[in-house]
Amino acid sequence: MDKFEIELTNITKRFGNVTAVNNISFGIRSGEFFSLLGPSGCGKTTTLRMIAGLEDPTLGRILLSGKDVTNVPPHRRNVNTVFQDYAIFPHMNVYENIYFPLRMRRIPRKVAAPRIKKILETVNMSRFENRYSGQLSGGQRQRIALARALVNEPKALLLDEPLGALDFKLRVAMQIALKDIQREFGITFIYVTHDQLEAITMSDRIAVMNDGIIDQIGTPDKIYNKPKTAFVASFIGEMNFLEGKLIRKKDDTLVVKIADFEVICERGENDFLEGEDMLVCVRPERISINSHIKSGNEIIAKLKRAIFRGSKFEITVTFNNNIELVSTVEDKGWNKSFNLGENLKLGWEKEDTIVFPMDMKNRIIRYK
Amino acid sequence: MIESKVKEKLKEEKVKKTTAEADVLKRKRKTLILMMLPISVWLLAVVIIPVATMLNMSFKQVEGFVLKDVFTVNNYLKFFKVEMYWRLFLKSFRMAFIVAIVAIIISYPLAYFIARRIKKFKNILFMLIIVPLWVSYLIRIIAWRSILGNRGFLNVFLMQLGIIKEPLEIFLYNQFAVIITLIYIAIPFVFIPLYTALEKIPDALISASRDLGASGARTFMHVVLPLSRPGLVTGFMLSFIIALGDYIIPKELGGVGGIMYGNVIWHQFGLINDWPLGAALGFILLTVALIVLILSRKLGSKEGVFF
Repeated sequence: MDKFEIELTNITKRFGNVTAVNNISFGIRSGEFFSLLGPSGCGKTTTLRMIAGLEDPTLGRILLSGKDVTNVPPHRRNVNTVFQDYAIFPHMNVYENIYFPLRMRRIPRKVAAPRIKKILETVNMSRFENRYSGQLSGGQRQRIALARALVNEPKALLLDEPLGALDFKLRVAMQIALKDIQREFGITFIYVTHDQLEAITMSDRIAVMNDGIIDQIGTPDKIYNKPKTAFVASFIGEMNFLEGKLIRKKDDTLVVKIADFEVICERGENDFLEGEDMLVCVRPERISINSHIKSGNEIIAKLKRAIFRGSKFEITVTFNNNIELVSTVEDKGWNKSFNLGENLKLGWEKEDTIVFPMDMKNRIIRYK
Repeated sequence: MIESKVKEKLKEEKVKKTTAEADVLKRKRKTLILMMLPISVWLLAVVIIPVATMLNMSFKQVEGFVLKDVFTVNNYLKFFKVEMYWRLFLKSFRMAFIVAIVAIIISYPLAYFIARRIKKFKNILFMLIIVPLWVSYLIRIIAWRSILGNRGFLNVFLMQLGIIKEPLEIFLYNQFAVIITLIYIAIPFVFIPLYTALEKIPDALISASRDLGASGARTFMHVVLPLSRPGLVTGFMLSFIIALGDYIIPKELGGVGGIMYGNVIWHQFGLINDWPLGAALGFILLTVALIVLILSRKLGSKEGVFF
């Protein structure tokens, strides 16, 4: 078990009657790109602020590099934050903004100068030394906020949805830039976002949060392909949810009856009882349409809708009158001559079926 | 043949375009003039004409009880030649400065706490500071006679504490009373711009400052204070100008020692009946006040010069 750079133990945060963070514990390794992912109000920003020292936990301990910093004020913690709205000091120019943390460490101007110049170069803002915040674009301000937080070489950099205000193409470019900087500096990044695509792209590990608790911590691959809760399954990527009853338990498979069809899935560690109500999930991209190869699971359904999405087609089918299933296929894989209401054969493998107990149904997130 | 026709057509289009543009401009100019009319009339009636009248008056002369229609700068020269006038002006200047500084020292912590530290009763506390402005100026001043007088609150309080045995007469009818009362009057005028400036500082800037290594005190010095500068400058300017020319407070509470420049001006329009001199002295005060205003704007009161 490697040593954790940052460790939270039984952290709870209450604001009056509201419990924003409910007894979470986890550790972050040195040099890791770790994301806190979840919908608005799940407690991820509050957790980040507690690590920064800007909020005090109601219960629990926080350790930085092995030291208990739960009661240490933010200006004495060796972590820096990039805020959502950048928080550039408007009454100082770019150079002074970046000098600020060094100045607070009482580093004289002459000594600080080369460090400031170097970090400005890293974020490609060397020409902007004398500009003020009002003269910069959103993306430029974001880079200054980043430079300012990095110049002191903190043990960890905390980022609170830093790319939220940028347009799509710029976001993607900044994601790559941030990841490069993180690798180059080797600094631990703790990244808060509600954008699951962003988290999957950039992170080494992700903690998926909902309603103040952590549903799952894992690599992007694990989170995506082996979600532990229905919430995680619904929040990451696209997912089909079907309801059925467990009718048979075999050695290594479970058989679930959905309407007139039987669906099989791998039997995992979970112990389900025969006759139990289940949630059955499968990712749209794992479902093939009218494939010549026989699949582990096959369903006949009527075509309801076909939406063109550029590189893919999103096909919605219905069976049993009201149950819907969505499949995404490559542009080439879709025969556009199908009529609405026509019968299609949908197939997917048993390894791609994920099941959850029915009581997780109300934790599914229905919008993103 | 075709070439010349084309050239003609192009010229036509150009002329049409410029006359159309000219029409739009003419309409815009008319609208602009119409919109400027009310404020211009108001400015003229309330500011320009009175000041112009006063300026005109300041160059005339009074002989006996008759106003002579001459042009002279004598009245202005009097300001510099007669010791009482310029001395009194400097004294008022000094007093106004003290009033402004002390009003800021009192109002700043008040504004800071209410703007940034209080969540629940913010509005009520703000109103409590503003509400006295709705009470008549004269009454608020005279109230201080009751506080500072022989049977006033202050003396009674000190006697009850046993600090003094007899009421002290040093609190009223002197410079001290004038300064105290001027400070009291100035406080709301300093509080409002300070409060506005302090309230506007985003919390994220404070968080960022602390996160980057500044303690509470250093955050105040390096972030809050500089960002509250427009409010500070506006507050100083307002309270200074109010205090500089005031004559009612010296009249009611100043006795002999507390007399200020405003009183001297006022006298010219009363018993002494030397309106030209009064106008000249008044115009000098106006000029100094204008200079203070301009300097304040330069020093960083970019927004909120008038709240």
